[in-house]
Formats: sequence, C-alpha cells, structure tokens
Amino acid sequence: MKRAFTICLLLFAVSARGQGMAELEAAFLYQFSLFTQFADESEALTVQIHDRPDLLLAMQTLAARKKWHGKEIRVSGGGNGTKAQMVFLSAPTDAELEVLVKQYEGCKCLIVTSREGFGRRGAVVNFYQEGDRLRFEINRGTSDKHQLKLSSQILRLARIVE
Amino acid sequence: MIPGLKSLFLRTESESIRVHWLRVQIAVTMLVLTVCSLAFITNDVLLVRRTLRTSLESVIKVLSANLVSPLVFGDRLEATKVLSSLTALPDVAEAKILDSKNEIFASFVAQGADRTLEPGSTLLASETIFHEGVAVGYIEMKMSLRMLRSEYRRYTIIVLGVLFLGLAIAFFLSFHTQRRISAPLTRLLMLTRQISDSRDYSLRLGKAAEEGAPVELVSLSHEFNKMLDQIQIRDAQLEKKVHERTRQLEDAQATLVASSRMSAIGEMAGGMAHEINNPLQIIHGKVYQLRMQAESGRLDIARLSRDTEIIESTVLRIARIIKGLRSFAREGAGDPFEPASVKSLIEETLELCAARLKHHGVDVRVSGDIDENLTVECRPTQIGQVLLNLLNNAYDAIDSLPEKWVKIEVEDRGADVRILVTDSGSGIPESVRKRIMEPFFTTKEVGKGTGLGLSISRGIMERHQGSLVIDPDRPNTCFVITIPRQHIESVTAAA
Repeated sequence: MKRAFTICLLLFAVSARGQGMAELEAAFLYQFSLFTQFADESEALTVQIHDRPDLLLAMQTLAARKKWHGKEIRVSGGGNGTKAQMVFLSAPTDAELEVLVKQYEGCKCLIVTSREGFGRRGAVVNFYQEGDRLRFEINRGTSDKHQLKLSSQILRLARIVE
Repeated sequence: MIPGLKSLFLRTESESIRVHWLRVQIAVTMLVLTVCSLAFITNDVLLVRRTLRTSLESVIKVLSANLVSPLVFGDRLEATKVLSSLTALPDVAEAKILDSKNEIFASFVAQGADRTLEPGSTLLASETIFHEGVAVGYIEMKMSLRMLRSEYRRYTIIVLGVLFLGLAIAFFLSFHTQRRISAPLTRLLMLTRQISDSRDYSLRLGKAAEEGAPVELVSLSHEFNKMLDQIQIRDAQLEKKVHERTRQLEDAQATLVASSRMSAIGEMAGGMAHEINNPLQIIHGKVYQLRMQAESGRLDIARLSRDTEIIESTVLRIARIIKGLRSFAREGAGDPFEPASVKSLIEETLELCAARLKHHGVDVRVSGDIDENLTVECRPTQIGQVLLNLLNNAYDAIDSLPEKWVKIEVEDRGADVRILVTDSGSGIPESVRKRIMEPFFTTKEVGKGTGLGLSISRGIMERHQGSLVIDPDRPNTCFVITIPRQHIESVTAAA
C-alpha cells in the first residue's frame, strides 16, 4: 500500500504542473532501476547522485519509503560512484559533465544525465523536456557497453539514440 | 416421450409397414442428427465463447504487461499507441485504461463499435495492472460477439446442410432397406390373396421372392410354402374322405330310395293283386268256355274270335300293369331325359294304383282332357314315381275320411307344365308343412311310411329343374309338381 501510495503520488507529480522536478526525476530513476537488469547481483541498489542536492534529497526520501525488488536502496551523493549501480551525473558545464561521464566509462552502472545531447555523449539515459513533460532518451550502445539489460517497456517509452 | 414425437414412432392402423418403416427411419435419423447437431453446436459455441474469453484475457494480459511502463511513466501517448494495436483484433470493440486514480488514462474504440455494441452482444473483461506488486492501473475491454454470431450462422447452415443430407441419405437407405423387407411381405400378401380368391393351394412362393430378402423373411417364405404343402395334403385326404363318405351316403340313399319304392309297391300290392286277379279270372273263364266248346265239338268260330280278342286285351292289360310295376321298381336315375307325354305319365301311374284306390272307395278324377301332344323332357320312370308317391300319400291321408277323392289337374304354362294332385283332405298344418319335405319326417303311423317319399320326390323334381311344393292357398291338400318343357343339359350336368 505504501508503494502504491508512493507511485500514485509520483504519477500525480508527473501529471501535475508545477510539481518539483527533483521528485519527478527521483521517481524516474527509481523506475529505471526496476526496468533494468544490472550485470552484478547485489544485496542492495546503490545509487549515487552528483551535484544535485535536491535530487539527492528526493531520492533519499523515496529510498526511505521504497524497496528495490525487496532490497534496500542506498543513496549517496558525490565521490567516485563507479561501484554504484546507478549514477546520476550533473555538472555546471557541459565540459565538466563530459569529463565526469568519462570517469564512468567501462563501469557496470546505469549513467543518467539531464543535459541536452548527453544521450550521445556517454550517458545511458538522458532526461529532456518535451513541452511540460519530462521524457528520456536511451543510448542502446552505451547500455550494452555498461552490460545493462534494459526492459523493452522502458525502451519503448524512450527516445533511442546512438 | 412428447406425444407428437411418440406418434412419429407408433404405427397407425391403416399404415403399411413400408410407410411406417420409412417414417421411423427418417424420424430416428432426424432425431439423432438434431440431437448430435445441437450437442455439436452447443459444444462449439461454448468452445468459441471460451476461446474468445481466453483470447480476450490473453490480450488483456499482454496489454497489461505493455501498459505498465506507460502507466508508471505517465506516458498517455504510449498507452494510446499500445491500445491502438487492438485494431489488429477486429472483435475488440472498446478498451479503456484507468490510472490508479480511476481516471481514464487512455482509451480505444473500434470503428463501427456503436453498431456492434448491442446489449448482450459483447464480452467484457478487465484486469488490474500491477507493477512490482502495486496496482498502477486498470484495463477494461469489450469484445464483440460478432464472431460468435457468425459462428452461429455458420453452424446453423452446416447443421441444416447435415440435416438435409442426412435426411436424404436416410430416405435413400430406408427406401432400399424397406424394399428388402416389404417386397417379400407384399409378394407373400399377393400370393395369400391369390390363394384365397382361387383356392388354389398348389401355388408357391418362388425363389425370386427370397432374393435379397432378410433371413427371417426367407424362413417365413419356406414355412409358408411348407404350410401350403400341408394344406394340400390335408385337402387331398379330406377330399378322399368326402368321396368315400359321399359314396357311402349315396349307397345308403339308394338303399333308402329302394326301400321307399318297395314300400310304395307293397302298399300297392293289394290293389294290384285285385287288378291282375280280375283279368286272370276273365281269361280263366273264357279259356274254360272255349275248352268246353271244343270238347263238346260245338266251337263257335265267331265267339272264339271274340273271346280270344278279350283274352288278348286282358293279357295286354296285365302286361301293362307288370310293365308299370317293373318300371316303378327301377330306380331310373340313370335314364336319359326324353320327351314324354304328360297324359301317358298320368295314365300309366294311375294304371298302377287306380284299382287299389277304387277298391277303397277313393274317387280318382282327372280334370279335363289332357292334350296328347303335351310333352315334357324328363325321366318318365322318376316322374311316375313322384306321381305314384303323391297318390299313395293322398290315399293314406283320406282313407279314414268320409269323403274320399283325388283330383289330378294339368296346367300348360308354356315353359313348364304343372301337375296338381289334390285330395279331399283339409290341407296340411303349417308346422307340418314346414318339415314335410325333410327326410324321415312322416305323420303316418309307425311302420306304414319311411318318411322319405316326399324328400326323394322333391330331389327328383329338383334334378328335373322343376319343383314339388304344397299350395297352401287351396282349401284341400294340394301338391304341385312343376316340370320344365325342355330340360337344359348343362344345368343337369353342373348339378
């Protein structure tokens, strides 16, 4: 019931104009994790958020209430997140973000960015705005390099980039 | 059983086995086919309905799985896109997705759905969409039963076709089968009728009647033929017995007739003795006179001539009486029919009994002159016997009466001649009249009559194609003999 409530809230947030972007992105990140099969089995879902305190907070709030396939969700901010399963990367400039993304090349983690064009520049998933809706693009090549198996359901919803 | 259905299987009284067989065969076939068809349709309809439901549920499950991510990510466009895939399924009329707030998230309406969505014409299915154990939405789908209706129509056509074909086959087979059964029976019936009409028990069912017939009917034919054999044997035995008995009866009857005749002769004997005795006395007297004359030598030639004439005529009279007696003593049944003078018949009969009647004071009258040329074709001896029997009976009946007479009348009626023998008696009571012609019936005292005279006389007259009856309208006892003028041989032969 808690999950349902959370989802309801999230969905409500998606559709509601003026809802906080961080909460929405946190909800999306959580859903990405559910539709992704990671290369390594782990006893918890580890998520690292770079340079987005609001998203970190929103994600931590969500992690406190939800489970990932019955397992704990561990959310941390900054530092080298190559050991994490899901990494949200953000930087003030594109160059900085690109450098940051390169640090994660070859790791078995799901790299998520929220910057125009980064879907083709090393991120597996990249958020973008379409009108007032938050949408995302997926790079199949990158996901393969990171040994991730994304559900067809999520692929269908995403804009695929190469 | 339903009365209407029952009447299909029961045979009406006037119905032939053939028609009944056909009707039952067709009714059974129709019933079986109808029941099978209904079972087939019901089963198939249920199957189709189940298949549709399964299909609908499968579609819903697939859709639910595909709608998880659009619901989770709030992607209405994708949800609509997913639903639009339903256009590939022509029977899906309508679908809608509700989100977790029970608001319509996406919907789909098939083209022409308004027409197909009649009440009761849709199949409804729904499912809650779960993601990670949480209900994220709800899908509801309506499937048109157009396919089912189309199946109904198809099945109805198939069933009607099968029924019609089945009926035709059943009729064809029944017709051929019933021929195997009814044809031998019909042949048997025809033969039975033929035997019944012709009474020819030598007829048999031929081998052709057994061709193609069932074993039971072949056995029936054999048994029927066997029965006819036995009937023929029995008939032959019966016929033999009948011949034997008839011969015995004829012998007995001949004996009785002879007895009756002898009895009549016995009754006449007294009269005849007198009748013969008188001429003998005359002859004796004349011979004596002639012998005296001869001995005295005074033989008168003229007197001799006169006396010999008297003697001759007297001898002739005696000869006639003897001839009559001889004739009466003969049975005469084998005599040919020949024209005989009615007058002679009467006179010759009176010759035998007139003396006796006169001797007992009976006045014998022959009414009027009988035409010499009036003849009848008959056996004269037998007609004489009948007349003599009637005269004897008349004598017996009136012997004790104060007024004793017997009258004989002859009536020429063209085609036949009637001889009426009336006596002075006052008629015969009706109770006696009814039985008087029966054999062995007599009113005479014991030992006087055999009771056969009248029955034999009637038999003789019937063989002459005539009759012997009593005229009850006359005040006196009157027997009427009718003799045809001409005897028809063929009738006699047939008789």
